[in-house]
Amino acid sequence: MWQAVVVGLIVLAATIYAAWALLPAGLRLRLARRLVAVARHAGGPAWLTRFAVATEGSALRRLGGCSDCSAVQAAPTPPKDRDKT
Amino acid sequence: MSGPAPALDAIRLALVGVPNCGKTALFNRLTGSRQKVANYAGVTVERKEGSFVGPTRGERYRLLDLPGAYSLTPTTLDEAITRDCLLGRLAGESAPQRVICVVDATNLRLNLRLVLELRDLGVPMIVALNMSDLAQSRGFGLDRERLERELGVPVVETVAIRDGGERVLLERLESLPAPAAGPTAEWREPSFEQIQQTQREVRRILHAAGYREPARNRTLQRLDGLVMHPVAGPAILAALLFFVFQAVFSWAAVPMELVDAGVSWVGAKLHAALPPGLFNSLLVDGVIAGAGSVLVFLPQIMILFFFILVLEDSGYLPRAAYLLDRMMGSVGLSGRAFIPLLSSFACAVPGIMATRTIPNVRDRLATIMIAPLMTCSARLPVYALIIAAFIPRQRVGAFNLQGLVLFTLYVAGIVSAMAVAYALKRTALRSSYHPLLLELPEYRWPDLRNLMLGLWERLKIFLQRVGTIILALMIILWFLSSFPAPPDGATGPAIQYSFAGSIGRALEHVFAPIGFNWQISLALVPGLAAREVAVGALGTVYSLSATGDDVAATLVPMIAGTWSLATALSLLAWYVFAPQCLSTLVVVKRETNSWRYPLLMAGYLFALAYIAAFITYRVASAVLS
Repeated sequence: MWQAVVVGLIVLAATIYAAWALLPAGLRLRLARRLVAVARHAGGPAWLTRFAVATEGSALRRLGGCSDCSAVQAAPTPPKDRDKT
Repeated sequence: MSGPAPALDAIRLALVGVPNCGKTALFNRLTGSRQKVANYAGVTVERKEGSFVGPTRGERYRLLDLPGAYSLTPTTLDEAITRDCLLGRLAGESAPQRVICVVDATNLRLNLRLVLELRDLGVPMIVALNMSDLAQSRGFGLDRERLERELGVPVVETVAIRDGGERVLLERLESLPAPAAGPTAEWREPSFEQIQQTQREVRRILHAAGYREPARNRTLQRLDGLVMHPVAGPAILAALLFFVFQAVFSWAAVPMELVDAGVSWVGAKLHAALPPGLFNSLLVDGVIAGAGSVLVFLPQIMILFFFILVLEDSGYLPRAAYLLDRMMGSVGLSGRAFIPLLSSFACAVPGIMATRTIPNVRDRLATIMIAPLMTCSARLPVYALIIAAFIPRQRVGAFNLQGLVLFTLYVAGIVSAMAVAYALKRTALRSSYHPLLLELPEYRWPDLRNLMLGLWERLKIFLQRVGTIILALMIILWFLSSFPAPPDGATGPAIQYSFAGSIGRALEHVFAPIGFNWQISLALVPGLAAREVAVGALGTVYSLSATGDDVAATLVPMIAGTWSLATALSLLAWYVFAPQCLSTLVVVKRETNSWRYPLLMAGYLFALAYIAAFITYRVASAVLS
């Protein structure tokens, strides 16, 4: 039984990771920002906001796809309104 | 990005200069980054950002590395990015408050026009005389202080590739006047007369600063005579490439066997140590058999990149571009397409981005459309797997037969790319011929640190891919291959009754005419994420399909015993053209700002792959039977 639970969790985590990593970086960033906005607006628990902010931070990290080549790494342009917050 | 995170009050600083003057090397030195550098123009085609803290005052700097530009009047997309960034025209990006203009101390005549144009913008600026060690050793003469007085801005000597080569630059940077809000003068595109006036001013300043160029080294002159000779040059280029592919197989044999043995040992130990069940199968059949079978090809990829990095650093590549200009011109391509196409041997994504250096839109589109036909490094594991399984490890004269086959596959990709370019340039993307204007950098010994860093980066990227996306996909594939459980009384391997088995058999209807069985058809699907995932997928699928003694066998003998030679050759032909790389298609969409070209690309590559595999399979089957 324990094997089925552990394997189920690993497969679920792998599926979520693969789906996230294979999204285009721009879309990943937009989704992560939306998550941050929702977490802050909803006034939910602090861990949710921290998780959302961490997700936003990781949205443009190397996730294993072809676009990770060093020659392709383009740093994001932080929008001005974010600089002020 | 690297270094400390830029604070909100960080000073915006831009690195500007002509192509191949060492901006990115200086960027890496200042920020501790490891962005790609090479000894040819056009490596940086996008702005890159990093940060650092000034050593004395502790001011924070947000450093932008901009694509190379000969002047503020752009002729290519990457030059336009530089101009727009400096003038604060990029969306969401303020103009830099300070500028470091990097100039190549061995090529000042070409560099000073940009310095004068930047000075006229009125942004506090410092000139970094980069490669000053090289200039001194080659006998260039220059009075730095006089140059500083003539230009009216600080001029410092830097050696970007050497530890501490940026120290003086940092000291002078901190003494610059308070940061401006951006350009204080309005920029207008100069007229022809104004450009001539600027060039006269360049000559006057150089004369006043006692700039003296030495006669060129006779040995290097003779070397150029040989390397760029119309007959000897192409022969040398072909021999070089041939040697590289021979080495990929010959040198990698022992380390590959070691990695393979290590992966098998770990699999066997895990299999024995864990109780039988789902978790055991996930680790052994999914993780080790899947991700492990990709890991085996690490030595070959490292050897290939070692040679690419040596050629990049030596200054040979632009000469190869010059040699191939006639060939490129004969199919209607610009010689400028050479560097993007060469980059595509590593990965089509940076290759497609490097087409920004091609000024003509139609030439650029044609280059984008053929870039995926260059054999990217992700295809190497697929080729190597099939070659190892079906091509005997023997010598043909002085040559390794396996290396010969690999060389032929790379050549097949190049020839197909030229054929497609020929067709495109005579139909939809017709344009007039644009002569190649290329700056040839001086030869130099590859920098060992640069070489090691480049290999380290490749190693990290490969291991990261294996440990992240490939691992995740293998776990998903294992799940799809293990569920649902086979019905009572089933006799074959469980995978035949699984989701993956059903998907594979459905796809087999499409791929059976080209000789692919359901396992190969299934492996093509996760290969869409990255081509080498197909190898891992075959590892997992065959591991789960195996019975009895076969379970212990690794992938190579398994496919050698299962596939026909005609199927193996057909799969090789498929992979010469295979359109399966989602990242490439997404980048094409971004670079062309339209879905039309990625859809066209996917369609024509699929058609070519299918036709080539069909012909190969049918001919091979007829001949071998």
